[in-house]
Amino acid sequence: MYQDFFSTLNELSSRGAPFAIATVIEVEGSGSAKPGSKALIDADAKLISGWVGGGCIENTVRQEAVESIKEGRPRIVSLDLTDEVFGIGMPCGGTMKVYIDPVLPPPELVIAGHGRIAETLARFAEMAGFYVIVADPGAAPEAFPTANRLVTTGFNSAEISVGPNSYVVVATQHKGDHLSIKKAIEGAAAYIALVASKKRAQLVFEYLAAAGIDQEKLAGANVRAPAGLDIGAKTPEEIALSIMSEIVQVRRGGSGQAMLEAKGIRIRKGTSHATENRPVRRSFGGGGKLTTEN
Amino acid sequence: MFEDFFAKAASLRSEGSPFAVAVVVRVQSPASGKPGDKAIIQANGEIYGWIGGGCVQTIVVQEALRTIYSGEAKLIRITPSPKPKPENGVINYHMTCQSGGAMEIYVEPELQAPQLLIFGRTAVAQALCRLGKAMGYLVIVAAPDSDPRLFSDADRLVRIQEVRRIDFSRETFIVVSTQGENDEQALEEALQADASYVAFVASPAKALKVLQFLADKGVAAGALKQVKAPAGLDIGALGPEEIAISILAQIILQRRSNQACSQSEIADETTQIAKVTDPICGMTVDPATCGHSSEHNGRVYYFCCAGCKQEFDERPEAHIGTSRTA
Repeated sequence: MYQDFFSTLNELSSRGAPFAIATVIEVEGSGSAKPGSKALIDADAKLISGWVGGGCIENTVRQEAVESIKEGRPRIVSLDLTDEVFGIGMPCGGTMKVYIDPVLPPPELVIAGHGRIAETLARFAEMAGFYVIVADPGAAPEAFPTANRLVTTGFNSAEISVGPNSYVVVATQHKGDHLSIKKAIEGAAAYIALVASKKRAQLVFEYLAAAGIDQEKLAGANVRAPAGLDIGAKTPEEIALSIMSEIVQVRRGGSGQAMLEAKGIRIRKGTSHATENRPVRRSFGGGGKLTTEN
Repeated sequence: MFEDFFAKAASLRSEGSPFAVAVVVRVQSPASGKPGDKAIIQANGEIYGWIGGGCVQTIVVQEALRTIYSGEAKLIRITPSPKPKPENGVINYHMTCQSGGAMEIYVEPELQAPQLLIFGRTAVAQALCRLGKAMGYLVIVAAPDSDPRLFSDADRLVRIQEVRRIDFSRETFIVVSTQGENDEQALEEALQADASYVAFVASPAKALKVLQFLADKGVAAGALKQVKAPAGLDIGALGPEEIAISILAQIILQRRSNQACSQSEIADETTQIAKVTDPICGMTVDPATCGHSSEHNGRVYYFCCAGCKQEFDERPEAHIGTSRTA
């Protein structure tokens, strides 16, 4: 069983499509599945393989798996097996907890350009788990030893396709930049940044307007120009780090403030203002029978 | 000459002393220097090499010290023209003693890499080590009982007892990422070092507990307040690599605000050394040594050279009140 399961996992993840692993972690009463029962569910709520219980349990778990894939975070689903609203028909009694873990293909960082900023950014992104593509005629393999793909025909070539899982950094400092930004916007990239001074960024936006970009799409794309979090970065390495921080922020959400301020901790003699990070509890499905944690 | 020059630069580099290199890149004769003239200027103002005569040298040293503190290269243009065209990134100096010629001098700081000292052998510590190296920092790791292969990027691995022997004369950032393994001891060591950034990787509750423990133990409240805990910027970081990225982002932020402070310090020092401003060219001059002065309406004005004095003497009113500090 295990061998099959892991080889299926391996095969699925190498295909690059998102899916979720549902594992029964607790059964109270006479559930039909046992702790350790597993199922694999794809982003369209289809059961790929495995079993965590039939009927309504399966439906609920499948829906939760889709949500978990969308959110990109694992969750625990508590199911009340006595509830007939779920239409199990033959109440088994007891409760069951299912842990759902989404397996997502790594996001992709496409860097248009070469040079120190591009090189350092490629290293950072590799460490942060991105699939890194460097698209530039001047990108030498020895300068990007960790990059997953080098595309020397450049970003605007047909070899590069941009999608919602793409993070795009345009760092060519080149006159074709507006075309690259246009392509990224049209591909609905998750993050688009332009490495440029304010002045040049303005020019690129003017070119974009002249190239007939949809203004609404442009506003919605939230192109970061100049690229990166405002941390006073000056050296190429620092600029690369500021861009990487911004990518993490866009992907995960965060205020950009110091954690110290964001989390409200103050060290004073005898007083504590620490805030606790509580897991979010959501209940839905009516009657509070179904709870999602994490 | 060249060999000596580069040997000097290399030796300063290896001993870790910051300095700036100034190169004459353009000369419009007649002027005392020629393209390719270069000098090394150390942080204490000591100059090595040749970069032109008295006035030019004063300007170059002053601007070199500024680049050492700001970390930014710049181009200085010294011209006889009273109102040179302002350009981005170019510092203009108006100088009358320049025998009618003009000079452009490129000044670039050669700063020693900052050092990142990491306590702990956790996944965050490992990620910081790799990222810190990619940033070009000198990375020192104090990770007791760890597999050195986990820190193969580190420049040095030290034991906790050796931390006090580290040279803290260079800019130092410290991250304590022990996560439960002698947090207090590591943090105490971190606080006694002379670092411009100390962060403690911990949850708010844990951070509070450990810092409170140190406060009760008698560690100064002022020092504890400097500790960034939880560490990093709030970018929603998940996992060790992203946490390490958020910490480096905070280090850069801290570094730049420190430099802004040193910048004003150096400005203060310069005004102390050179007490007055030449009302013609805006250079700071030392009344004791400049040798050129004029009295007007009961006040004495000092000049960098005879040319400035002459220009002032011709129409004193035109220059009073318009003097600027370079």
